[in-house]
Amino acid sequence: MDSQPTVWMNVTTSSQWSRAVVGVVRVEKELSQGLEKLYPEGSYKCCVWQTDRFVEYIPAFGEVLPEASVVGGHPVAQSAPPSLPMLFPILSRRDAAKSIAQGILSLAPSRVRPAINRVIVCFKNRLAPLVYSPRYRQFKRCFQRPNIAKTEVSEVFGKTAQSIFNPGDVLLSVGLDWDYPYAKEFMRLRQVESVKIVRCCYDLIPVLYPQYCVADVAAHFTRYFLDVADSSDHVLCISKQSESDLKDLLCRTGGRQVKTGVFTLGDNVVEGRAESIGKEVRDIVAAPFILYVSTIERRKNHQVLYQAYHQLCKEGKKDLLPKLVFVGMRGWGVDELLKDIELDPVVKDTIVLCNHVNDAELQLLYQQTVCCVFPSLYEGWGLPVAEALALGKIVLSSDRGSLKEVGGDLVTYIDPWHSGAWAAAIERIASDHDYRTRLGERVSASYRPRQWRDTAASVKAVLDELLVSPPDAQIYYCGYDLTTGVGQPVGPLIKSRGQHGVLFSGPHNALPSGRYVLEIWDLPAQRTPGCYSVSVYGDGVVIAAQNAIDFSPANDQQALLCLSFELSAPVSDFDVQCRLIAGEVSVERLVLMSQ
Amino acid sequence: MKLLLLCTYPYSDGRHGGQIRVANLVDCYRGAGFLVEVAGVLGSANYPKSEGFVAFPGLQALSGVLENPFLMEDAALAQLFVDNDSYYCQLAEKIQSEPDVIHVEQPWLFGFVRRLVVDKGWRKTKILYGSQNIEYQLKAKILAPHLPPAKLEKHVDKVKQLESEATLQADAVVCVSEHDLQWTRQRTQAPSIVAANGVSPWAVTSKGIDAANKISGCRKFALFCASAHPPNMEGFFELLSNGFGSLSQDQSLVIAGSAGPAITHDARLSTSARLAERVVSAGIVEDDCLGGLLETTHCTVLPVTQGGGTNLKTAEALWAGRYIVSTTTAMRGFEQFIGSPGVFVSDKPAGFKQNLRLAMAAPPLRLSCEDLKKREVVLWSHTLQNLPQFIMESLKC
Repeated sequence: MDSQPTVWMNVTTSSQWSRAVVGVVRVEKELSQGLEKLYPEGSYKCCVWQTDRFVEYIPAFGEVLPEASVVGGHPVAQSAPPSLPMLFPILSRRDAAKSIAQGILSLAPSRVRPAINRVIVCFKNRLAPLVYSPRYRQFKRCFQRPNIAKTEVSEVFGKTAQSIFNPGDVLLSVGLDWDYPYAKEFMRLRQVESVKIVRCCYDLIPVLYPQYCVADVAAHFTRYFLDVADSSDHVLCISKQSESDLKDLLCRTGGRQVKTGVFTLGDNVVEGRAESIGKEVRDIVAAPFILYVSTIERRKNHQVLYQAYHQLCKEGKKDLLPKLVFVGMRGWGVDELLKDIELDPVVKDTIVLCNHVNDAELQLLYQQTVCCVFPSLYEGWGLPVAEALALGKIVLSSDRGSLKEVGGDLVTYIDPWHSGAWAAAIERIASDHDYRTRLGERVSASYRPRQWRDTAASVKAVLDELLVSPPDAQIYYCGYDLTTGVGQPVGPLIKSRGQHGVLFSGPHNALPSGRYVLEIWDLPAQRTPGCYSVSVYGDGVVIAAQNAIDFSPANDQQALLCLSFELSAPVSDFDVQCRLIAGEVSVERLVLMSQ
Repeated sequence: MKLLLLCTYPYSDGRHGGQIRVANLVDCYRGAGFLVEVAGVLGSANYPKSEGFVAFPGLQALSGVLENPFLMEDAALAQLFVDNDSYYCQLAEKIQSEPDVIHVEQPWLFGFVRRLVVDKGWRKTKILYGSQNIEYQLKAKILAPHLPPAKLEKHVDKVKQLESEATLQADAVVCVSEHDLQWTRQRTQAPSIVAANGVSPWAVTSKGIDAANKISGCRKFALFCASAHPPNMEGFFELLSNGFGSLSQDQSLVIAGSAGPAITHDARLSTSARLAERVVSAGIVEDDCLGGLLETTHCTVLPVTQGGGTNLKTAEALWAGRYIVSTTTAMRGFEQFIGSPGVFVSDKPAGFKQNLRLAMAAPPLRLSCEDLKKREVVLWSHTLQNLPQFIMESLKC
């Protein structure tokens, strides 16, 4: 066994991710790569959740975690297979299902259309809650092919059926943890295996704004965050806003006040190959345009931009306006909005939807835009704002959530509900060249891009602090944490009841190597004269023992026993056994202190 | 002295607070040498037959005097046993001899007593009204979720009238808390006294501990003892729902009493994150087991948000000597213990939940001998000790 603690990073999310990279996957990947560079070889390892435990993640030769090519939820272009090109553009599963339903309805004879329509509506209503349920996602995940080569997995299981962690190790998990069944494992690892756990809080949108989410997820995510607080030594938050939201939730629900800290995400835009820029993007950049990079969903509030453009066009300013380009995946709850944009003759040809852009295209769009807009109703951070600023772009942003943290005083903030204010701001940007230049120069001169390597370094500082921090004194209450042969658990106590034998045994926890002092505390007034013996075991081997220790009633508070011992290597099963030989005693707690 | 005690529930083997109070009043009076006779009407079909008590008349009979008497059965009983000669006579026949004092516990049978003393010509008989609460205020809170405002007001007015008549027409009033006493003294010149609710010391047995361990699984737990009385349910959900993070995965909230099944069948339980997972419903338990639960619990919760009386469960929790997470309403009558070791008080859900977490994270409470001594005031022997003397002096019996 290694005696130096190891930093582990859970890369389950990115190792299983086969779709376009989203923000969380990028954070996991960037941190994983950044930490790997910062730690000496062997002291940093990755792990993934496999069936019912974490196993070490060793990528097969040539395999890497998915490249973090795109942020903000928009997909990269799929690379074509070596065989025939795709006949049609690839749709998302949701859009594909919708197209099938649309096709059936369109091809059906008109007399049976009402009946088919009813069947589809009924099917949709029943299917939707199921598809969006966390259980279904977990179920689906079970059948997804993991990216871990079989040989590596079997080697890991072959090496050991036991835990890969040693007491004192630190485990960092920043992925889509709410979609995986390992939440309880964090608690067990922390309590039983003495592994220090660091987790991440991106935002509390499902709790605070469930109306912007699919189905009612508030209770589900409240449970999730309560568990995060309960099972972590430290929670990393991506903004002060998220940290404050988390603390408020824990305060409101009585949750554990876990230690938190803020780490700032990097904002360097990934560069792509120039030759991969398609005609659609080339056409867009040929004329002035305003850019909004974000998944198209209700919370992102594309609606207010549509309203602002509608207002400006109605006022006869259409020719003045740059095109408005929405770059991002189509999400939930925006069908009516997109239909309005498509059909509204007033804004015709001024708003463009651009899906499936690659890295180079995104970078070009950022570089060529007149300004970026971000009217989101709430954010835990707001990476597109940071990316735009990093490229020296003017940004008009909502003033909600964490967005002011991202842009500081370099961004023009606007009430996301006030379409008139957005219209006025856009008009000024479009018409006032000097103003635009001034703003742009200010951003270029003042904004200091955040680097992912700095993100990794700030996380490393948290991990290092946990690595070197001595373990707190551990208290095991006999009645709750230990088992008894001849006694009776009475709340925290184990009381003897006239029989002699094993009064208590446990706690069967993992323990790092080191010197320790063990104290056994009882209620001295409840003793009757007698004697006992105590043995301390590490993985079944006796580490220390004292035999035939006498005791008698007392009024003062003094430990029943104080015993020092040393562990030269970590143990996975630390056990204290007390055998009562004579007399009566009520033991309350074991206190284990590291020296 | 001959004393007749009238109430709407049997007092032997009592489960709820009212029954336990009556049982202790009877013991107190008998202990003082009074000849005590107990009679009344069973206020629910769930009570067992009891000597001296008229059976529950049934909802049909109650509906005859009060339309839709849901949660107003007690007020309907009050009217039925005054207005309906048949029911009046049934109860009157249960009373064997002329008493010196009639103690009417709660206002429901006060009208009956007024008619009885007139009909029987008992001019010397004094009437003592035993208040357990400011009933109309409590009734308003109980009925509010179920009735439209106009009907609610009508029902509440009816209870207020019954209560006011009892307070005004009684020769003396026994109040349950200082708050109750102040309210009473604003309305009557009749002598009044506080006889707070209390608790009897209980024995902890090994069998009871084993039974409690089976329920708790030997895990650290908080205990909520309550009946399914609507205010208990409302207080529980008001203070503990909407996300419950006070207990960690290895802790539980044990609910002893009929509140357990009622809470586990309530839709609000499952919609509150992490509340259902932590709740263990023990249901109605034997006294032995209850003693075991009180002995092994780390903390007792008293999520009481309604009522003007003193809470028997508060006295029980104080005597148990474990942490208490409570509200100011639950501490009514025991205000001197607010701020004493191990007592956490908050009236807001966030504060209540945080207090529960703090209490559960604290080391086991070990009260000093001095603190234990101070808590003897919660025993019935102390809370009722001045009552017989008060009756003899104020009623000149």
